[in-house]
Amino acid sequence: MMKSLLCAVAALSLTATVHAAPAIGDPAPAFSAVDTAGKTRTLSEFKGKTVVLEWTNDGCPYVKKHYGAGNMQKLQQDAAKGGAVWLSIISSAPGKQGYVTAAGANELTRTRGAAPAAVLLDPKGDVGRAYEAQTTPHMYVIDKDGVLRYMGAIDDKPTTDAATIHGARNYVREALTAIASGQKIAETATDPYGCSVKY
Amino acid sequence: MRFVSALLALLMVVVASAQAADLATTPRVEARLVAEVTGVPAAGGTISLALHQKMQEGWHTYWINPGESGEPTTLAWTLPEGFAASAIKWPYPERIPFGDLANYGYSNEVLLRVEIAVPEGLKPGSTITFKTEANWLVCKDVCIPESATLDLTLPVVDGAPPKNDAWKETFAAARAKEPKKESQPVIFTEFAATDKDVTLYFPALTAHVATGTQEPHTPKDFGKGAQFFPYTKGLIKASAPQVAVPVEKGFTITVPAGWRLRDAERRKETEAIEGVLVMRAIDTAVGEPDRVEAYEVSLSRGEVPAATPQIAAADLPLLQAILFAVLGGLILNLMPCVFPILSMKALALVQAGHAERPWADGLAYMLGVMATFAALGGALLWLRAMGEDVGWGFQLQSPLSVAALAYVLTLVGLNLSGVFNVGGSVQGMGQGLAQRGGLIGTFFTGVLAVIVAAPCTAPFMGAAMGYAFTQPSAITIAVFLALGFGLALPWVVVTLSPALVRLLPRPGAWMERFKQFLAFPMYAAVVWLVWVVSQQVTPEGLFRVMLGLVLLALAAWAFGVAQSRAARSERILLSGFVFLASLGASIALIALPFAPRTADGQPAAVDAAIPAEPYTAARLAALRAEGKPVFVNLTAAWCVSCLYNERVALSSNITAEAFKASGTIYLIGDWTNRNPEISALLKQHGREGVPLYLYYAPGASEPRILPQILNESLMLEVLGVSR
Repeated sequence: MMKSLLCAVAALSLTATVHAAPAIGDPAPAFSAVDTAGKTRTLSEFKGKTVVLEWTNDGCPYVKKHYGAGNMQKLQQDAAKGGAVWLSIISSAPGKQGYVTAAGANELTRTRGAAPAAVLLDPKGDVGRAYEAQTTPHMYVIDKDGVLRYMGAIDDKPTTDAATIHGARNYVREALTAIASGQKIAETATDPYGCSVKY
Repeated sequence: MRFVSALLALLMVVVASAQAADLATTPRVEARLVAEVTGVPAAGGTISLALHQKMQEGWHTYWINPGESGEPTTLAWTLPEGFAASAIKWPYPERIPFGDLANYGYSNEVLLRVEIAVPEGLKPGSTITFKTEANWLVCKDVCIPESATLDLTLPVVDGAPPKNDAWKETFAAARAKEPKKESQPVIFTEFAATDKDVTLYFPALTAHVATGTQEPHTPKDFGKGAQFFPYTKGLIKASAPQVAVPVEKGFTITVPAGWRLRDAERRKETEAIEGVLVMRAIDTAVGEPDRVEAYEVSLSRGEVPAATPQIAAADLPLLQAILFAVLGGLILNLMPCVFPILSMKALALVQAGHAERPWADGLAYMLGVMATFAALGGALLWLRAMGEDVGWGFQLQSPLSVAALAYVLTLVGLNLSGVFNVGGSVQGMGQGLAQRGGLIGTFFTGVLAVIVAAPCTAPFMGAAMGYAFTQPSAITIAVFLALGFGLALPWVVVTLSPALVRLLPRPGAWMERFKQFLAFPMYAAVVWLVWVVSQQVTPEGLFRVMLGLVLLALAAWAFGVAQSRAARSERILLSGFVFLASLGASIALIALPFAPRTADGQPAAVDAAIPAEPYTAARLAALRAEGKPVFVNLTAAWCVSCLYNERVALSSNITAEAFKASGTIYLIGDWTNRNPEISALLKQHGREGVPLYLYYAPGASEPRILPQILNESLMLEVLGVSR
């Protein structure tokens, strides 16, 4: 009786694992979200590939800066060329600014000429909260072993001024290059900048 | 020629003023470049200019550290030769929550002051034009980057320039909001950081907040709403509520670490945390504006005292704790949980009372009770030593043990109903009870009494148990033994006193009826336990438990039949039957799918008439920071005392009205399943189990701990509502 009781207590304590904040060098938080094609995507299905997560909101001026100048699209294309999987994630809650339906998100991808592998819809904000995504854009790079290698800003120019893109230090590009060539990533975490995620 | 250049200069001034370029208006912000004085001193010195932003309702701009998103306002000056502008003298910000996130910034209006160094030898009568390019981000649910090029022309004057009447008050207010810089090293502040939390320690603030009042404030007075705003992003989680916890000297604020401090390398590099500490006095009268003081502080790395609040129960002297435990045990006899067992006990007593040595029976019972209490205490200690965070009632936080208890009570009920007998052949009921189990049976009645008593916590018990676990193991066990002593005491007293024994009715045929009747409280208890299980497991699990009950009853019936049949073959067959059925029942239990209900955060135990929210430490801290009165009810589905209180005192319309009238927020912590946050709150108040009722008056640093048995008038008094 006592033994089975203790087993039960132990089992319960195992199920009650506390949600841990994402940390560089740790396994990236697992997630499961539906993409704009209605397909459920998980982090584990991309094991063996580098994954880039991009939190986005089409109405945000910081996002507009990078899409308006073609900077984000270029990065997406280059990432794909390098074999990385690019997932754009929309965590705006229904009724909040930036919330879009699957069709709306596809339309955005088309009109912006964006090239993500998939756009994930996260209206409940579960994926966003697991990653503690704060801003749009907020970028994460996960290596082929599922380990979080970079989190933070897209570059070192926290403004809405598109003129700053030229000559900016793009942390995501740096991280992807370093991972591809097996080098150490210079900046593994930075302050994200942008509009707040509209949970 | 001279005339022409003068004309040209004049013309330029006119053009500038025609543009009215000291003001820029967007649909969200009215931005104006303003000066504190009406002229520039010819002899040089320092004057203040500022960008004044007046925001539309709901819009805000940002502080130097914007928090979890956003961007601070910037000013790029174009000044005549010899002039220089300082950085913005930021007034302390407000915390602006947005969904899950929080920003540091300003709503309504803000004056961003800048000090301009004026060179010597200016010509009185001439004019100076100050020009700045202002960039800011203004957000509501959307963010708009805005910018304006503003300029302001002031005449050069002899002597000290007079103040600008239109703006001097706004400047004064903004200056008052600039954090005080401490030149003397009086505020020794320190921080300690792990990869999870940062603790900020402000030990010497007592002396400093004393300015302006007669009596020095204690840190507690200023603890309310104490908020630390770091200058650097990513050091702490900006959206986490901050609560000042008084320690022996000064106070601490513990907040989740931001990414910068979660990273081991960067944490090591962080030598200091700089920012602004904003404190609000709590001793202001109603209607009086909050007295706020803000300090610029630099926290260096160091040792901070553990922010463990005083454990109230630890102040109990040992003797008093033991006395409380005995009293608690005594009162436990009056609690509904033990009632079915006590009825059985009463029956046994009638029997034993007329036996030769009634006192032996009483002692066996007491031994059973005390041994079980000691075992439970030992198990608790052991689990804690293993790092488990458990408290009284832990044995019921596992659906497995609740279900097992339901099984045991079912068997007891079936036994009372006469489906089967314990201990061999059936004899005349008259001799049955005394002979059958004998002293061992009585011992196990004691064990059973303790097991079913778990859902009830009696007054005095909470404090005693809370005390027990702050003490060495021997004392913990002693307190548990004292509880058992108290629970068993009335029965021992009866059996020890021949006079009382003589008062008992004589055994007879009525006892059989009474025994059969007693099966029903048992079945009722089983129904209740199954209900508890239903709060803990999925519907499939519930199905298994109930199926197990049926199998168990089948086994008991087969066992009973076997007992009454002589034929050997039949016995073997029935034994197999018993075996298979009980095996089925055990499998049903063991494969119980767990579905801890804490995950969905819905309090399961209460169907409150009062709108309630689930308890979390963060929510409580946030409500307290807002200065709202809060009532916290820590409860569990298996806690009978809790359910009683909820029925009697917490679900009446009168109480509901009182909650509404007083604006008190009702938080329910459901401990039916294990929940570390609730365990922590219990421990903080020296408790090891539910119920615990806490009332946090607005601004109070400590809650009022209410008794474990509530009633309506007490609730009205607590909520400050008169009938």
